[in-house]
Amino acid sequence: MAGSPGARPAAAAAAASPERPAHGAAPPAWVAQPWALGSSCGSHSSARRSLHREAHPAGRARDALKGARGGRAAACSFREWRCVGGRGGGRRGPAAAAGAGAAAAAGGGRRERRRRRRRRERRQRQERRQRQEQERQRQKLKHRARGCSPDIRQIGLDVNRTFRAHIMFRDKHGAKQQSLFHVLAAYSIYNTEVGYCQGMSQITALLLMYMNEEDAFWALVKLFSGPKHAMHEHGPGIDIFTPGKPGDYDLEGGIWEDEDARNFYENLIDLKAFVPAILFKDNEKSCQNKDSNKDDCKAKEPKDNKEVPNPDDLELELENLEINDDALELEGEDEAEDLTKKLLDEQEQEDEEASTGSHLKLIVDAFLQQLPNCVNHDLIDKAAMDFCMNMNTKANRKKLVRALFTVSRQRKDRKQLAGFLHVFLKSMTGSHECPHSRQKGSRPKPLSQQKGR
Amino acid sequence: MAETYDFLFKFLVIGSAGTGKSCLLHQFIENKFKQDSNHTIGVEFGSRVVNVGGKTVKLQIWDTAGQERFRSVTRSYYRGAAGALLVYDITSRETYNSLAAWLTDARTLASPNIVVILCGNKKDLDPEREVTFLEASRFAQENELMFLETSALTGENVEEAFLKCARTILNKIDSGELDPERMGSGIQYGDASLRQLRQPRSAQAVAPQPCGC
Repeated sequence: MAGSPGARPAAAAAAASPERPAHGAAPPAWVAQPWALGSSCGSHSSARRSLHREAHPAGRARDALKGARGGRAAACSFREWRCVGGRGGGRRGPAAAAGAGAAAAAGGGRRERRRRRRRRERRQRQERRQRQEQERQRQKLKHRARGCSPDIRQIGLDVNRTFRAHIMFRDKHGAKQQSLFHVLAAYSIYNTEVGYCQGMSQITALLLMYMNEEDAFWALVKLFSGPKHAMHEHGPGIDIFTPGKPGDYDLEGGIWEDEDARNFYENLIDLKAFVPAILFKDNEKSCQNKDSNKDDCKAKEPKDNKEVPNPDDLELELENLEINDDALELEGEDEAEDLTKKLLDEQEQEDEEASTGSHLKLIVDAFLQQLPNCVNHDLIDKAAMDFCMNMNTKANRKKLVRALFTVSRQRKDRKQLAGFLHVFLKSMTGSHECPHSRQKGSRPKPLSQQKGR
Repeated sequence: MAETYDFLFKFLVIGSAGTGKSCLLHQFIENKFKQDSNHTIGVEFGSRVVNVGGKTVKLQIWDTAGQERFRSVTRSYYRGAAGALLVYDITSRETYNSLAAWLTDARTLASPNIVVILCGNKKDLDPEREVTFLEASRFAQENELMFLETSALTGENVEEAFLKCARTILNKIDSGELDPERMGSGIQYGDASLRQLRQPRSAQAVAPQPCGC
């Protein structure tokens, strides 16, 4: 019995090939299918069958199709289509060629042919057994898909608009459209994460142009999960096939397309943590306000702890400052100095009003006079701390900067200046932002003590 | 010659999959029914210059993919749309039921005062109708939409839908409700006036070329 289905298509092939043009517009699948369907139900001899077909080719095809639509389950028809029609289609070519060769050679050719055929059948049976497992799985999936795939509706919609200009997919509910539907439905169940996504139908249809249903299915599986193509999940490109993958976001979450975009716009870095506080206009105010709103400062504390400026950054900053300083001197000491002075003087007048009285002014002046005497590291640290704690206002800072300029010029002691600037800068960034930053022994006083003043 | 126009409106065509959005657009632009229309992946695009109330308006129409899967992609095209065609299929209740979600999407992502017209497509398939005209128009009224039943196959009401939407936007501009100068309004002034200024210069530039040949 197992041998006969293989033999039949081969025998019918010779008869079928002249018959094909008569079908005209019918897709090739139609031509293959009648044998498949006929062979499985009949017990006639192949010779009689082919005779019968020759007599009523069109009628025969119609009957077979009718049987396929009405009588049998789709799963059954698929299996037969695959085993007999699909395989037979592949074999038909060589068999016909062999027939032609035999006619020329005559004599022992017929026996040779038979032997070859038997061998082929044996091979085929083995293959079939190997594939049966896979096939059974696919069948199961297909049945399940009918009932429970959420994408069935969409698949049904799209099958009818995939490559409609192509001869295979031209007919609505034609054989190829059906197999396209089967493959997509089966896949939507096989891989529930992807399900069905528009665009898959074209890929599958393309596969179906060259393969049978089952091969197309497994090819699709490979396309998605194979390491080479990896369209699903692990691919390098946008994974459009997974729901919600490319920048999915909920409307409640805001207007950002994805987490990255949201982070970019919403999680702003605290510039105060990186930039020296002198650069802030509101610095002075916040300094003065500090006394009044303690709670505010305390609330800031934990956050600031995280953002203690990196000592290395400060070092860099310092270097830059020095370089600038050097450059200034090289270009034209006096000119630069004048310019700075002018600028500072202008601003000082406004700032003077804001500074808290003459008492502080005296202290600052005293401090600045003492500055040149700071000959070692500890003294400088101390001075810096003192300045930051007691006299840290905009106007004073400007004075200090001016003083530092003169100090450096008199003593040409870059190292000392560097040390001072180092501590100064550090204290500036840390003075009202992060009182816990410590470096080189300079330890700004705790917040509570600051507030006492 | 390049087209000149007074305004440019950005339009969206949105709605569930398979409702005929692409066919509507094709019918509007080509005046033909697209027999074997493919499903849209991501977004497609078309434009046409129409005359509305004595003004030439260029409609720049973004035709979006309907499948749920592509929403995250298509949403990014919503921003700055002046008008939208919200399409459902009168032969499919499912597409009608999801209208509310589409509308929220459009109002949230495009702009709250986007002009939306509801289109019940496939009017030619009246025997298979699942959504009545009455309930759809009630839905439209509740949500302050305009409503038309269209057929991309016969072309019935297709042009009207686009024109009605454009006219409403123009009226809103005239009444000051919409400000074309505001960013993200989806409306741009056409370059008709600019072109007129440029024309003599471009004519000069073109003139020497024939001599060279």
